[in-house]
Parts: sequence; C-alpha cells; structure tokens
Amino acid sequence: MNAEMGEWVKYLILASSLAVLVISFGIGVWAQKKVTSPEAFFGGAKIFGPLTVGLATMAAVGSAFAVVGVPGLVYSTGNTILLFMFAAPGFVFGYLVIGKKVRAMAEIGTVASLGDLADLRFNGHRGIKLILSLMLFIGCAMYLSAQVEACAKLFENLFEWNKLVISVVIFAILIAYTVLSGEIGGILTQAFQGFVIVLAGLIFTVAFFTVTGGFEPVLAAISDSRGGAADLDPAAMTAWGSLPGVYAFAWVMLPTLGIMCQPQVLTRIMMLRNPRELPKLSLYAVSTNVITGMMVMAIGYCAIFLAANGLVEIDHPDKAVFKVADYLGLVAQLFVYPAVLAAALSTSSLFLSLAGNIVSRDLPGSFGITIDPVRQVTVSRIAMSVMGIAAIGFASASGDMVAILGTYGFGTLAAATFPIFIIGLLWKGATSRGVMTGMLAALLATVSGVTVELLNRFGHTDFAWPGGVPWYVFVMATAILVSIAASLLTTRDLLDRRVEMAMDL
Amino acid sequence: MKNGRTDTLLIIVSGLLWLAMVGLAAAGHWFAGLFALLALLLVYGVLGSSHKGQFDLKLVAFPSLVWIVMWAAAFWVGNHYAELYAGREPDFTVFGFHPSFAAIVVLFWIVPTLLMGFGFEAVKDRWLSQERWDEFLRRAHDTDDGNDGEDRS
Repeated sequence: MNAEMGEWVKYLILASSLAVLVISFGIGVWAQKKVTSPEAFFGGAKIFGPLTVGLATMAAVGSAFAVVGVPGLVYSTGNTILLFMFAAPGFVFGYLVIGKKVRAMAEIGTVASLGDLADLRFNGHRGIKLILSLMLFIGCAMYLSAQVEACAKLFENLFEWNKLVISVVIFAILIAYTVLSGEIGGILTQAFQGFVIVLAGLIFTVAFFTVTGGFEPVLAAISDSRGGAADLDPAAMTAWGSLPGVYAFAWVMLPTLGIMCQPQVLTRIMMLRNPRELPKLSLYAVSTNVITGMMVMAIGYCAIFLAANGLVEIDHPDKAVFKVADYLGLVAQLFVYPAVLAAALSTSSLFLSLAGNIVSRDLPGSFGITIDPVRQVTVSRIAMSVMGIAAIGFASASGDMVAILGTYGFGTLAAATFPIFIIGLLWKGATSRGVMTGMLAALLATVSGVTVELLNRFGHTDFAWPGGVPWYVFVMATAILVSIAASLLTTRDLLDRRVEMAMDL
Repeated sequence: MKNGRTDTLLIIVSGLLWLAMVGLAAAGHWFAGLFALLALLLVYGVLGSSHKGQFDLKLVAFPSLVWIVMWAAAFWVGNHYAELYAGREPDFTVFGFHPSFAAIVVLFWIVPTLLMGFGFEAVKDRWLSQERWDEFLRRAHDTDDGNDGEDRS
C-alpha cells in the first residue's frame, strides 16, 4: 500500500477512475438505442466518422499494454519497446495497402465479424472459419489477461485490494455495458476512452519536462554513478535499448506488419461511413498514437530519472507508471489512473465483443449451424461473460508482465489474420485450401509456442528459440509461408465476381 | 506496370523475404533482418497499389517508398552511433537524446509519421477517387441483381 499518499487523495483518484467507468457505462446504455439490428450489435453498422473511428482504434490498439507495460519496460530495459510504440507509420501503411479492399468487402455482403469477411473471401470455407475462431479466441484470452493484470496493478497500488476482487468488479461493469450495446457502444466508449488517454498523454508530457528539465538530464542521470547505484544500464538509452538486439528486430517487425491485420484495425475499417475518409481516420489514429507514444516515453524516462536520483523506488516495472504519477502529485494522478483504466477498458470491450462474435456466429457457422440472429445476441452476451471470467483466471495463472502478455496476444492475432486478410486480399491466388493449411500450421505453432513458454516458466525445460527471436515471430512466418506454398500447389478458387471487384479496387 | 502473373511472382518474393528476414534474425543477424523487412514492406506496398490489373508505382513511390528510405536511414544512423558509443557516454546529444536514439525519434517516428499521415491525405484521390468508389458500388449492386455491370470477356 502506498503509505505516503493521504486517504482522501486515494479516494479522489478512485472517484476519477470510477468516473471513467460510469461515463463508459452511460455511453453504453445510451448507445443501446442505436442497436437497430443484430448485425449492428455485432459490428455491421457503417455509420461512424473518421474522428470516432480513429480515436476508438487508437484506444483499442493502445491498451493497458501501452500505458502500463511499455513505461515499465522503458524503465527496466530502455528504448527497445519504444520501437514498438513508434511504428505509427505502419498504421497508415496498413490503411493504404488493404483499407479500401476491406471496406469494399463490407459493401458486398453482410459483414459484421472477421468470420463473415473470411467467408466472403474464401467462399464460406468452414475450416478457415473454425481455425480463425480458435486462434482469435486464444489471442483474445492473452490480450484480455493483459488488461486484467493492468487493472489489478492499478488498484493494488492504491488500496492493496485483492487482485481477484478488483478484476471481477471492473470486468462486471465492463461486461454489463458491452453486452447492452455490443460493438456500437464499444466503438463510442472506446472513442471516449481514447480521448481520456490523449488528455493524460498531454498532461504527462508537460509534467515530464517540468520535473526532469528535458531528455538530457535523464541521459546524464543514467550514464553517471547515479544510474549504476540504482542498477540502471546506460545502454538503455541507445537506439536499441539494453535488451538483446533481436528484440529490437521483433518489436519493429511485429507492429509494422501486424498492425494492418489486427482485429482492432480491421473491424473498425468496416464501421467507417465512407472509405474515402480512411486517410483522415489514419491521421487521427496516428496523431493520437504519437501523443500516447510521447506519454509512455515520458513516464518511462521520468521513472529512470526519479529512480537514479533516489526519489522513488520501483520494485516491479509494471508499477513504474503509478510510482511516477504518485511522485508528480494530484493532477497527474487524477489523469493517469483513469487513463490506465480507459486503456484497459477500451481493449477489453473490443476483445469481449470479438469473443462474443466468435462463439455466437463464427464458431457455429464453421460447423454449419445457423443460430437465429436474435438468439445470437443472447449467446454472444453469455460468451462475453464467460470470456471475461476466463481472462481473469488466465491472468492469475500466468503471472506474466503486462507488456509481455500484450505482445503474445498481438503476435497470435497477427498469425491468425495475416494469411486470410492480407495475403488473401492482396493475392487472388491465395486458395482456401492453401490458407486453411497455413492456418492449421499457425494453430499448431501457437499451441507449441505457448506450451514451450509455459514449460520454460515452470522450469521443466530451458529451451531457447533460435537467435532469441520471440516465438510468435516464428508462428507468423510459419502461417504465411505455409499459406503461400500450399496455395501455389493447389488449384485456384473460383472467386465471386464482387469479391474480385473489391480486390481490384 | 501490368499485373498478370506479377502478383503471384511478388507473393513468392514476399515469402522468400519472410524466410530471409526471420532466418537472418534467428541466425543472429537481426540488423540485416530489419532491412529484409523494409524490402518486404515495399513488396506489400506494390501489391496494395494494384487496381484492375495494374500496379500504380507513383502511389508506391510517394509516400510509402520515401517512408521506407527514411526507416533505412534511421536504422543505419541509429546503429552507427549505438556501436560508436557502446559502453560509454556519447560526446554529444541531439535534443537531449543519445545520438543513436535521436535518429530513431526523428527518422523512424516523428517525420515518417507526419509524412505518411499527410502524404496519404495528399494522394487520396489517386488512391480511391469518388468516381471509382461510386463505380464499384454500382457494379457490385448490378452484380447482386444478376448483371455484373461489365463485359468479362
């Protein structure tokens, strides 16, 4: 428990964090009236402008991984993880390369989920839909667990409340507003939460310069004897940070190639009113992403400066953001704590909706079972609740750092979606049997990767991946290479004329 | 540039680049792997510029190629100064940053983000004009009605 902090300050911070929850809940209830059909509930409404979608996309991509995990890694290992945060041009590149094709697909059929999109491109291939659903489900569990971890750390730092109780309370409110309004409420609450993150980002950036005097004093503090005394490595401040160089490679590659196929990006493109607004959307998304990047760099650097000067003690990297906020005082605390909550909620609501879509629409569809659209909504609501509980369990069991869980989820989702939506939409020669084979390889590789990581964690093996490359990079490469090779070896599918038109756009 | 079988060729090249990129990193040559990534981005950029069987290389040249060149410069300069000042304090800073990280801030993050963001807006009509979108909608709906709106021969 943070003993130095007065009780009234803690309750004020709690109130500001709860305000984010209450406003999000209010938006969710209000958005319920916009849910005019089951398709709209699941994400098939093309009614939003670029600012709403841009803010929502940034918030959903950013997540607690960015606000808690990244500053923690900046503090402990330096600039390496900032390469992940700074890959914003990859965002725009993704929209440029596949944005209009994805949006066009949403015009030629009922597209409310990624499964629907895969159905259109691959002529309703059930195997692809099944494996996509399973992979997305695994990725959702990892991503949601990272958000649970972040929320638990947030309130643990304030009140020493039980981690499980905190997670259950926050997720109960989140599930309540997500099940009410589905993706419509999801995108609107995410836009609001994105705004909270941006506001906190601006405040934190100003606070950083006020406290440290700029970047030079941080570099000086870590480079001289103060840094050594605080057990900080000066190599952290170089381009590649203090982690092995291969992490720099992985954390440039992963967002640059992975961002364009993340569910947070793909599903939001489909909800944009007009595809010609995609450039504006990308401007809003990257400019707010840059502010988030500045914020996490400022927090991480502030943590280094304060620790080197003996002004704070940080016993776990994920607590860096809270320790820094507590040092900066009430104004920073009143914005940073809600920002962490907003980041966790925005991503969680998206992945809960995604999990609901998978269980109520995509998974039954892959077995040839059609559920009545109204019942789908009920099934989806039950699935979201179950997924929330499962994520809490996964977070408790894994005990991993927020950032690491986040990158696991990012990698798994990219491996699931890249062959279908990037290779599939860029190349008419990507066959359903080829992509199905690639997806199967990705699923096996993911299960193997997670198993090896768990065995390593519990000391049953000491397996090291070649070159120290993170396992999810191999999973992505396997999925893509097998998809291409198998497509070349199988005969081309006869594409729907409208799908060809969308791919030719 | 005509599409034809070129898209299949480019996809094969992309597969080989994936293999090279991950293989290099796994063999300990992660820095070379970063340059393989840039080549891979270029291939996807070309594939993404395809419209009715033709690649629009002007759209690839700006803003994507300019961005890729900037990233190459960021990697090279960043690595140069990281190696030059390895294990010691740098002789100078840029905006208060270690010179190797300053290259990342300027050439990897801020300038390319502005370039791509505003560059995309600048080439919006070339990327997807209102006429092209309207034509797509018309033909897609014609096809719904059983007429594909275009002679396929």
